[in-house]
Amino acid sequence: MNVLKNVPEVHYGASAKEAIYKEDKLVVYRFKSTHKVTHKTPLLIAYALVNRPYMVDLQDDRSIVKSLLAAGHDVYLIDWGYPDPSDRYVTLDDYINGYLRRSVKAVSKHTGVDKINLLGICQGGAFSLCYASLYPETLQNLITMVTPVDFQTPDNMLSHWTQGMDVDLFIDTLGNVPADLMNWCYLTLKPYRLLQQKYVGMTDILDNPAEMENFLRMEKWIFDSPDQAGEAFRQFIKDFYQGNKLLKGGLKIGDKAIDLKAIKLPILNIFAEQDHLVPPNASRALKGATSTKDYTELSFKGGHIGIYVSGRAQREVPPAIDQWLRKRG
Amino acid sequence: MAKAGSGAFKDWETLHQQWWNAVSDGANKVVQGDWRDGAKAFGDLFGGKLGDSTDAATQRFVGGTKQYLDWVEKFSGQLATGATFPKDAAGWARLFQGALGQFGETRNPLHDLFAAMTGDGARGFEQFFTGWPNPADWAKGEVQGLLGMPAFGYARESQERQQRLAVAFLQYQDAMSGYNRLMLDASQRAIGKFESLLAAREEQGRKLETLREVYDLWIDAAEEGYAEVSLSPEFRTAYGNLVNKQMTVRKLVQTEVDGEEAGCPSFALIREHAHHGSDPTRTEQSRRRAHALWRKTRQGHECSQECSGSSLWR
Repeated sequence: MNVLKNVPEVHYGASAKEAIYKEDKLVVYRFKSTHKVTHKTPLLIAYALVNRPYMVDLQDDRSIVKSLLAAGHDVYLIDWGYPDPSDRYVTLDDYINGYLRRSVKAVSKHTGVDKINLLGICQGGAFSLCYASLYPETLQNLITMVTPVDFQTPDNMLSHWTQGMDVDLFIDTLGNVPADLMNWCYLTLKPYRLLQQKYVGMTDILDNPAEMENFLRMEKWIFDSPDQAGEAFRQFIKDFYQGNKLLKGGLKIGDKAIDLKAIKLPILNIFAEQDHLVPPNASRALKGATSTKDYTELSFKGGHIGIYVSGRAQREVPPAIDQWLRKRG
Repeated sequence: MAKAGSGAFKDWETLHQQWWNAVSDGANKVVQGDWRDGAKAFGDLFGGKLGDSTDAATQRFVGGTKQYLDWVEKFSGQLATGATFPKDAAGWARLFQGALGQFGETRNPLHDLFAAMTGDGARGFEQFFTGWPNPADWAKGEVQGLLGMPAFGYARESQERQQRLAVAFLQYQDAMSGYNRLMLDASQRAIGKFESLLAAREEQGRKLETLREVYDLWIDAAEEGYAEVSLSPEFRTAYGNLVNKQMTVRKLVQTEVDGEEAGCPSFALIREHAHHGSDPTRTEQSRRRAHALWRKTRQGHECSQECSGSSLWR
């Protein structure tokens, strides 16, 4: 117990970074590297809206970013910020045709190249697929990580629960979707493990300062969730979850139709075998959904969170990304 | 049969003691009373030294493990009153069920788990009415009597709104009952699965060495039972219905509380804008207009940049 009494407020972030572009609440960061940049094409990471992006650079020994920097990549990250009531009417059109497009443009401008590499994670991966279908001329390679493509696989509990929801009533009532509500929904996907067993297990590490700090850092990340902009959430649930339009077709972002077949870029698709949020088959559906002739899959033995922070992830994921990119420039 | 005091029981006692010391050190009210008092005591122990994240994690720690602690108490109680330490699957299942007690609509580990979990970071269906008058009492009381009556007179519009609200409350309660029935089903399935997992271990000759293993096996079974129900067509309907009915109630309450029909700035808006330090007279409509204006400005800005530069990208 003395450990818990004395544990300092936990912080996150292993790598120094600088803001290279700001717009409203969005910030695009460039990670500062102590290593020589050997890859001429910069890598931009687009995370999901539903959690904070510092998961990719959580702490010194759990950082995908740090490994990529060490491998000679020039790494950038989009921080979407925390929506507030003034963002109630921000749409997916704003996020994808607006913020994401301008973030790519900013990185391109900052590095002086015409094409960049885009790494989309989870919902950010779905956004990246939409973006790649609309603006392929701005991308060299596309990497998707734990990204849902088929939103209606039979094991997708989250999708199952949304099917009977009246999303219009939901958003018209709530406006922005509160983060607490989102968290609750995620916790109830595995209630016994996430609400109880995890904390029972915490007693095993109460006397270990380093483990307790890691535990508290993860807790901080899990519950550090932004509210969701109402209109963007409305369309995401309706078109992606309920309509499964990303895969089936018929999806429009703003006035632009999304066609995955328009994607001819090299794609590396990384998914987690024990992912309870994005089941592996939801990601595997990307194979054959695009027109690319250069498609690679990486199946990771772990879960949706472990794929960023586990020891295995540090050993397997960044090296795989590095080698794949190295072959493609 | 191993009696209380055997090696495995000692192990159990040690675990229990370790656990108990950890919790009671700072939150000795956990078992006797409201766990939130315990959480507060637990937080107070640190004399404000904890940061927000540690404090919130501590709250979840105490809330999330209360059920486990109760279970430990009951388990130990059974063993202390002469029950033998089980040596086979059937014995474990009997002892476990004894600790959990008979399930019912008001006694369900899932229900208790959800109800106990509150505080910063997550709120669920159970917390929806926290701090409000009990909707059941409201609906069954005076307002219920008005449901079938035609509205008339000066207050007729107010009465009609209250009638709609009361009906919505009742529908939400129905939806909640439907959801709770499925949660009960999930817990009952978990017991069956727990017995199967115990039997499978026994067949493989794998003995349960510690009570922690028993607990972990129960969690596996409970999650399986929950997942089975949660992926069923019935749950899909019940969950959607529950969310939709709750939103209906929320919307009607917002209308009632906010006084929007009188053209006043809403209560929620005032609170929201006070929180964000902005103008409370703005409305949803003005927010929508502001967003449209922002988009036009942004487009114009980009257009002017592209026209003045030689390249789109540089």
